[in-house]
Amino acid sequence: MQRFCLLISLCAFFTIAYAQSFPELTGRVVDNAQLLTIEDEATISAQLEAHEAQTGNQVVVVSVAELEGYDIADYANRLGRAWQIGTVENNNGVLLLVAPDERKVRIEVGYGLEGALTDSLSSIIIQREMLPEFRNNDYPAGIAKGVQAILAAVEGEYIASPGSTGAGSSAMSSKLESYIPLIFIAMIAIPELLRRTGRHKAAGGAFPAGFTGLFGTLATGNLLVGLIVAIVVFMLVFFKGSGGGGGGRSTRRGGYLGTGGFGGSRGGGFGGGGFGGGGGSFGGGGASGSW
Amino acid sequence: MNLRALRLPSRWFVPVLAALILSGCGINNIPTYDEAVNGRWSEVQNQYKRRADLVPNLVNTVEGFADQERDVLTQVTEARTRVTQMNISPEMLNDPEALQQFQQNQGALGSALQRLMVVVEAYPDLKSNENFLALQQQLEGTENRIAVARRDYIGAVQQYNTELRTIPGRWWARFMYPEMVAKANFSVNAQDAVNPAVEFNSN
Repeated sequence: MQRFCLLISLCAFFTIAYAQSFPELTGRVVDNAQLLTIEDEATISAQLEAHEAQTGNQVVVVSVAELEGYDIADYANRLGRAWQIGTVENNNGVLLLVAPDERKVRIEVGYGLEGALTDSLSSIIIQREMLPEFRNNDYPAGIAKGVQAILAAVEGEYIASPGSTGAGSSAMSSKLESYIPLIFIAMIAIPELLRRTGRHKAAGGAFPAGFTGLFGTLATGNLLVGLIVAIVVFMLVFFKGSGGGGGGRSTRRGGYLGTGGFGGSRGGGFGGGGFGGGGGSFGGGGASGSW
Repeated sequence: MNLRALRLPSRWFVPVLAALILSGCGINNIPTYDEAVNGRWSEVQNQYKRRADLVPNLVNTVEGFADQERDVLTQVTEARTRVTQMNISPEMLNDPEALQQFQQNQGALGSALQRLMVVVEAYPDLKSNENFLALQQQLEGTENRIAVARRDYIGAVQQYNTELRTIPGRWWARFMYPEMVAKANFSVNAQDAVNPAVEFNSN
């Protein structure tokens, strides 16, 4: 029995994604190199947000203090993929990356927008709109003009359902979906197996634990949260039932009703708000420039 | 919810349960990753082909302005011929030598193109020719896409090979997919370590 449980928990842990050392996606403008004033940032951010609401295209501006030795094209591609700018279906993301220390700039274009924002058009935007301003050390003007030109270029290329890119965790949850049948089976099987081996108390805790864990996972899109919820619920039921001797069934029922709500409400708090990528990917389209 | 109603005959309960659990534990991983490798490989070939297709146009344009650079132009043309003669089907990905040969040929074309881009610096008329500028941009874009496609292929092969060599994938391979063997991967040789990306600093 322990072997089964071990196997299941191993499967669960395989899906937890690992973190990367890229800057954090804090909004539509991630100004880590401090090139923009707060007002500039708000203006550009509002423009990008309006554009996304209108067309569904996700454009993100990012400045970094250093490229950590990467080629700017390589860095931009990795960053765009790590942030998953754009939607899964349309890959309609654009990343405008400025590295002032290396004096390099790149427009990285998602697969879906390569037709509207071609390599040569990206190059023209960089050469004509951005580099002259950058050479005068006027970063805000260069970035603002670049953003204007990019938005004009991709305008209307994809009229995806507005706001569909905001939620963020679509890639993760589709991965989780493939585990739902497994989790269901485990929810039923583990209590069954525990009962057959005479561990009635543990069996009573296992079902509500699995149930709330599943809900927690689905609501938050995070398997770890689900697991923690499941373990907490199991502990609650298990130790609550330990005083009652043979009264396993009644505590099980109570535990289930009492804790099901807990899992659900906890999930609700994690799901909403914030800006995130929609699962889009990049194939190396776009252009770079330096000044 | 009455759990007793869910009790099932134990004779088939355990095997079915085991099968379902195992399906979440990677019995399908090897064929899935295998397909991923094939898909990535198509993309690699696709982008390399796009580069090879640019070459004749590029050579013609440069010839018009800088015919005295015959040596470099010939090198580029010859390297392209070798590249277009070699095609690797997904089945050949198990053969490290074939991939090595493929990589060598593509590397030779890459460095020949790089040399070409250096010598054209001496021809201001060519550098301001619109046709040439467009080709230059397309070449740069293609080199970037090749880099991404190669990186994706390397990642896919790594995942596939790791699955074949680690438990439980190793067990699955032995019992279910004995015909699946490790695939060859790109190596970063000295040629690639010199960044082949063509940089264009205008004025």
